[in-house]
Amino acid sequence: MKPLLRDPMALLGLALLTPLLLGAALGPLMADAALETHLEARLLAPSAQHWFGTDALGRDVLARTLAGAASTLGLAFLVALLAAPLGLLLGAVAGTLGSWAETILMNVTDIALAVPRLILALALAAALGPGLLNAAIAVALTAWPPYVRQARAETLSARKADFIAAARLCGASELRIALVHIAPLGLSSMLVRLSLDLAGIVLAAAGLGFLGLGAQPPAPEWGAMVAAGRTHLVDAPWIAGFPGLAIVMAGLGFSLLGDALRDMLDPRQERC
Amino acid sequence: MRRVLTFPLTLLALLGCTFLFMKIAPIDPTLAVTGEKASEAARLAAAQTLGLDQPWPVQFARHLGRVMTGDLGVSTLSGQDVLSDLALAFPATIELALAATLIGFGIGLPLGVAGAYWRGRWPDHLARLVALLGHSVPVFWLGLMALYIFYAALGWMPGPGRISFYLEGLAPRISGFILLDSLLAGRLDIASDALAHLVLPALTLGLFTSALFARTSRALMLDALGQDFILTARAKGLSEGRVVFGHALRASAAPLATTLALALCSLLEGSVLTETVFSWPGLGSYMTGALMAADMAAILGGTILIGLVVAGLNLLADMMQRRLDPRTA
Amino acid sequence: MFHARTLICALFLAFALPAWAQAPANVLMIGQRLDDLATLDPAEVFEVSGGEIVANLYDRLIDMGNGQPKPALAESWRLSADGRQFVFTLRKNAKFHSGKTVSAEDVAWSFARAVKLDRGGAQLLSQLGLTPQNVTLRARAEGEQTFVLDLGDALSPSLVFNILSCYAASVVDSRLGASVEKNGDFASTWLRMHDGGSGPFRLELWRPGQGLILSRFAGHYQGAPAIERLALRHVPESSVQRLMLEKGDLDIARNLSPDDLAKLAASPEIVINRIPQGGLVYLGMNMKVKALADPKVRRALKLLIDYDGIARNVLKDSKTVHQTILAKGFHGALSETPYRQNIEEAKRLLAEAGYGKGLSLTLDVRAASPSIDIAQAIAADFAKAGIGLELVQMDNKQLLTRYRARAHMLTLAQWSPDYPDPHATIQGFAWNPDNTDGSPFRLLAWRNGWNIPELTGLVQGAKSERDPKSRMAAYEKAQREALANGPYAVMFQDMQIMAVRTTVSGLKAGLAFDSLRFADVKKEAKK
Repeated sequence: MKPLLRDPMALLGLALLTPLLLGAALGPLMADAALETHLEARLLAPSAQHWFGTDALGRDVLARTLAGAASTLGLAFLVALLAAPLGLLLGAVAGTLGSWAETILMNVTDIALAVPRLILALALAAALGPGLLNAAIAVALTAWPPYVRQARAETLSARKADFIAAARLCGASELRIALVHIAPLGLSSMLVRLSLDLAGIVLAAAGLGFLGLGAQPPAPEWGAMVAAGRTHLVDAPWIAGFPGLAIVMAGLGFSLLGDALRDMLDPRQERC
Repeated sequence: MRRVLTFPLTLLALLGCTFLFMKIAPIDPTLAVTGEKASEAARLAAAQTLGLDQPWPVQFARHLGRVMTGDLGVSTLSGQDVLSDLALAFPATIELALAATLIGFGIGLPLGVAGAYWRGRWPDHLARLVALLGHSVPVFWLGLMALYIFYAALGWMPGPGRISFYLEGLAPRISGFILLDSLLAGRLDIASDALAHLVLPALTLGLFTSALFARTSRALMLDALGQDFILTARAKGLSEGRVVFGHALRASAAPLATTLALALCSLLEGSVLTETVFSWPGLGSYMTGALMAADMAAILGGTILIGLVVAGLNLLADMMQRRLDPRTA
Repeated sequence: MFHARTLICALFLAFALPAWAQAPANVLMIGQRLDDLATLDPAEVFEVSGGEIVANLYDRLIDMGNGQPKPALAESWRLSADGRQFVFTLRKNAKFHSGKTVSAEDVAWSFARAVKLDRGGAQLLSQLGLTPQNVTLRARAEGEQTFVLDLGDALSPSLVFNILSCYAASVVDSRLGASVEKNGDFASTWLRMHDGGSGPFRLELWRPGQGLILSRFAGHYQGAPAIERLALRHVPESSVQRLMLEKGDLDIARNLSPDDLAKLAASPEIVINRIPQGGLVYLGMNMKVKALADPKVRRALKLLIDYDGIARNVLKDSKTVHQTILAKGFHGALSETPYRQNIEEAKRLLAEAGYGKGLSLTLDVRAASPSIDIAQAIAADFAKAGIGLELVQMDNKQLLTRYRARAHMLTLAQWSPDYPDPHATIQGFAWNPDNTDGSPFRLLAWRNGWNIPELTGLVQGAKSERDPKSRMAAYEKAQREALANGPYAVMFQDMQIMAVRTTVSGLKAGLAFDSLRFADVKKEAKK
């Protein structure tokens, strides 16, 4: 962890993410303030009392932005939890078993890679109906293939290692080898890839929210808040502005942290 | 070879997905045919003509057959064939995606090359910053802010839309690309109006692509600049310009061309959000509009079209890679 | 490389040029919500936006002005002595956009197709007694210029004229119709997207989801309109409409929110027109509920609502206070507003009725603005007299289902008449031939359990009353009765609000939503 804390870019990433993660953690405490409407205090500009101003129903934009962290980041983590381990396991299995299982799995992965993410998510959300969980499923369904590819590549190089041969000699089944011995090897590169991917997942989740397919009103969610702020863009740009900035912060934070993590865990790869 | 096989398989999977979505959507497909006020008998008759009483495999085969012949159903929203709706919307999306690619290429490539050449110096930091921003700023928000600043506040740019609406229909529709059609009709006023409308959405999307190009071209150039043939070229006393542009960049041309094709894919997706923000009448607006009205035929038709294009571009990228890069042959 | 650079340079050049032109004076730019527009077939349209456009693409036999019929395609008409036959003589100089002269055949064909197609238009024409079986006999051409309409029963002439002047009675080009008809669809597939009319404007282009462009028809019988092109653009957001209006990218904005209207009020370049519409917002009280069957309780409720306060603070004057069942602007409408918030009087009435200690009621309300805002304000008002009002939020379909099953206590509902004749509204509120649960007639009086055999007879008679004075007298009585004892607290009347740039003049609009006409609009070049 130490080298990470010495990298100024990683520190910047952490600094960007900390308030958002705090917001996500404290979100439940803020739920009331985020939902409370004050019709007499509509569309107030940012001030000492309302740092981020108020929205069309007089709700505090700061409280909503912080509470919204729980929805958007929660969705991103949910996607990560669904997609990355699945990809890792599939990739390890494909790489270990080889032959026809590998062919089928990798073909499916290629196909899934070629399907446009947001479009599929959009069609799926249209079929399942809007909602946070459905949005997560939709994004997760399109997010797993790169993990399979990466895990398979790692597996192929690890397959010939001595300890794997030893496990095989001890009579371990191929599936057991894949799951118990090889999959953990891919963990670190999966984490690197994941941290780089989180920025994209946050953007995709916010994009679905913007289209009205994520959390439903009045629940606060950044993408949906930006969409709601469109109505008052001219008079009250802060309604769309601040949740948008929060998305940028999350995106930048994850990108920076991901870059730094990769430098640390996987120095072979070139940073950009 | 595997890619060539993947293409039809991808299409099959895409059609399978859309068919599945159609089945799980809680919407009665006969509504699109009969309208809301039809009698129960008319509804049943429509269900029969649509083959809804058949087993699923049969229905899927029919679905395949219909899509193959270009029958994507009727949109409940516009009352038109989905195919003709898509034909109207598609050129607008292509126009936007091409402009954004050009901008992305024009900004991203020089940045990436400079970043690699002056590694660790300020051009490198700039390239990294652009790459980071392109990767972290949501296009829908960027577009909104651009509209707010350049249209609402400053008045430098025209508002949302593809052209000033009253000019719509004045140049005969030939290719569907307004810029081209208006030039063909000799209407410079329409062409410049359309060009002005293109600037903000294309720049918004272009930032996103320039990140991709900066990242890729920087990595490729770093790789190329470290190769032996560059050392040889330098040893022969070639100018730095010749070394960078004549040798290193040329060596990166093949993977860059691949990136270009892949960039177009991601642009098709990015355009969904950008078009919504700028009321750009392309596929993205069409699909989000259909989404609000639960117009399944339109959504799935759009999905099939975009999936087809993306799969085609993937195939093309792969073939280019093989043709241009001797190492993968 | 070089190629890409030139193109990018060209793109950046656009920054420097004022490349997008301002709308010229011969084009009228209108921004409105058009997402409900699904058809432009006059026999099918039912949404507001479709009705308005159809009214400018097609002509009818007659138009209405100040409650009187005015010649349109028909230059004269006469009634038979028994009031059952109308004979219209068509003008000779009217042409369709196709160039064909408008003949009585066209009128007869238009009526027949509307009735047989059995969509929105058929419901209106059925008020004239026209059915798919009898329409070719009862609405027929006798020669080139003569159109005859036979009624089954005598009807009040003004009712007949009002129906004949609305969009459902538009005259469609029968020759064109025959050429585009497919599988006996009465040309409806084609007419949905195209125009087959003779109106002052023709449909030049319609891009669903984007907007429409109409261009003037030089051969119109009244002469060509001043404006060459009408661009109706779909702009869903109020804020964008306002912005475009301020920038001169729009001449008229149709769907501005109270916030945006307030911001525009000070602008010297923009006038805000408020045109009363036929729609009403009212509180329905179900008399099947014991407390609400007591006239004192109903009166108390009517006295508890802060009408002016809600109009000012909640609705921001987007609707006006109106308390009789017939909207202002209809012939014979009473405009009196006897109810003002009077909490003491209401408390006294409630105590007399035995509810001095309080009363609990529920209010069905649509979960959308402004309904929900109005409901919250009413709940606060009722609480002042000890009435606990629980709001039951639901979507409109669910609300109507409960209302039609008399399952509500109070309901916050909206009424809009199907055609611009007082009968459409009066029948809705004050006509209940069968108050049993199995009644086939489930209009508003039935839904609220208002048993009024005498008033029902009066309203029924007025439908065919040929003397305008006695007809209006009957409607006045119905309005007064509903105002005093009816199970309705009528509160607000809808308004159509249009923000118009001062360069635009000559816009015509009225009570009915299809009365917006662009034929006489003029626009000056920007000052």
